[in-house]
Amino acid sequence: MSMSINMKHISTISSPNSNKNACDTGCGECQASCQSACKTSCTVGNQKCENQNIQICE
Amino acid sequence: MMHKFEKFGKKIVIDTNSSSVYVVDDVVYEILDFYTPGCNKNSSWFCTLAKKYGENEVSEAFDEIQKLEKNSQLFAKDININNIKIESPIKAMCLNVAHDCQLRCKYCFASQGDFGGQRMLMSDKTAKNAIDFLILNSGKRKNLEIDFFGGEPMMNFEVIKKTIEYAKINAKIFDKNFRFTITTNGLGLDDEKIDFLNQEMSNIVMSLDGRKNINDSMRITANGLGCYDIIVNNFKKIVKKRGKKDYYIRGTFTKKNLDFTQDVIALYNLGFKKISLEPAVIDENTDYALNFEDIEKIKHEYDKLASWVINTKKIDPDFVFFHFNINLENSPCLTKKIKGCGCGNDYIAVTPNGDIFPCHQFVGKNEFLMGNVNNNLFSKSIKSKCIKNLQNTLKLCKNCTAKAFCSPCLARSKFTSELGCKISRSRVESALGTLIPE
Repeated sequence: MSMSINMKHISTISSPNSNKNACDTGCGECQASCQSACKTSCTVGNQKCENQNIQICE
Repeated sequence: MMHKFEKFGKKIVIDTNSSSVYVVDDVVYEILDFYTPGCNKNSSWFCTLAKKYGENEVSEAFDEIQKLEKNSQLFAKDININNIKIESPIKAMCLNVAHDCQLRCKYCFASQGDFGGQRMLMSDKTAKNAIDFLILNSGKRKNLEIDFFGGEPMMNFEVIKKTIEYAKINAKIFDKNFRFTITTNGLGLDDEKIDFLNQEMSNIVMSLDGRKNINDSMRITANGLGCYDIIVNNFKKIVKKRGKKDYYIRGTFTKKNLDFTQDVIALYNLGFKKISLEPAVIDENTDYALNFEDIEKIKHEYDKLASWVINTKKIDPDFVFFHFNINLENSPCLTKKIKGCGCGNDYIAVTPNGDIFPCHQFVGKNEFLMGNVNNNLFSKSIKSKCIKNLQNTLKLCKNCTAKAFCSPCLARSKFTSELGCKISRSRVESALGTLIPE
């Protein structure tokens, strides 16, 4: 269920249930993280999903 | 797991299992000191907070937390990694076309370019075999990646050209899409090479540490001279001609420049807008190695950098600091987060003689030798070992506050200490601080 609305006491900055990534596919077409600008300090947070065909979760 | 912290006057809450991020007010922030899943308003702490903030306020805030909890957006259950299919076809290759380098950088994890072995260049035959190997083992993956790496890959420019030509021909035959990237030290570049790189590489990573004195104290030539003046001019040429294609100026910081914000500023003042600066991975016995006593300084410096980034992005939205660039809107899927870098699974490194290792940081560690592209040998047992190591590392990550945005690094867990993880955790918090609207 999507719930990215802001409430009185809590502002949602990001919530996976409100975006397409909840429909997890693991298609593997995105960039390998160590092929970006980092070879020693691994991170995936700044990678982007490249699958444009994922349906938005309801 | 819920984690909360304050950054730049904002009270930030992360739900590490669902990757949700919130900004909350004082009432919610304090309730979260006591709130546990399934609790109710009859708790003694509720009465205490009601006296401080007023019963209506605390009750409303409680209801909002409870709503998120019921939607699994706060206090979400831990992810069952056993339900995630980790084994994958190979899609990305770090192609070490040169185990040689003109520089003798003090912190080089590749032992000044030779990875602890012989200085050598890859032949075009081995490079072509590597392309064949990648295509053969890529299954249905369409997007394949080749990162030209070393040592200094541009010492083997002719093989890079032949490799790209060969890969493009085979991409058409096998319906693949190759992306080429390169990491270069900037030496030995001329206009022809720069034009070639700008045309063929989807991303160019250029090694430069920041201030001239910092760069030249670490990134030195074989005869002991700094390289700053040569490479800065070459990198400026690349960026000037590059248009909108990706690039990063990538630096390293050590104990000698814990004030690394000044290095990011120095790089920005040179006209570079896409900057990455990473902690050095080096023998802890060297006098410039980072260690646990540096953590507080690093944490403070990341906050200082984050403040500068917030102000800079107001006047220059194109500026990017790689490690603060957490993608909240279009973030990678759960499977990607679990699989992380794909070391030894969908990502491998190939040495000049064709040997295959799980990643560039494992090169030369012969217990991790996976095979050789020249005879098409590939050890599934090392791949299984990497997947097993990943699963074990994920257990260590289970209660990490940064796990929603970081990923397991097998090289880090195998060869380095908790230090890198502590640095990652502080960096993630500073990064999130830059992403919260004012």
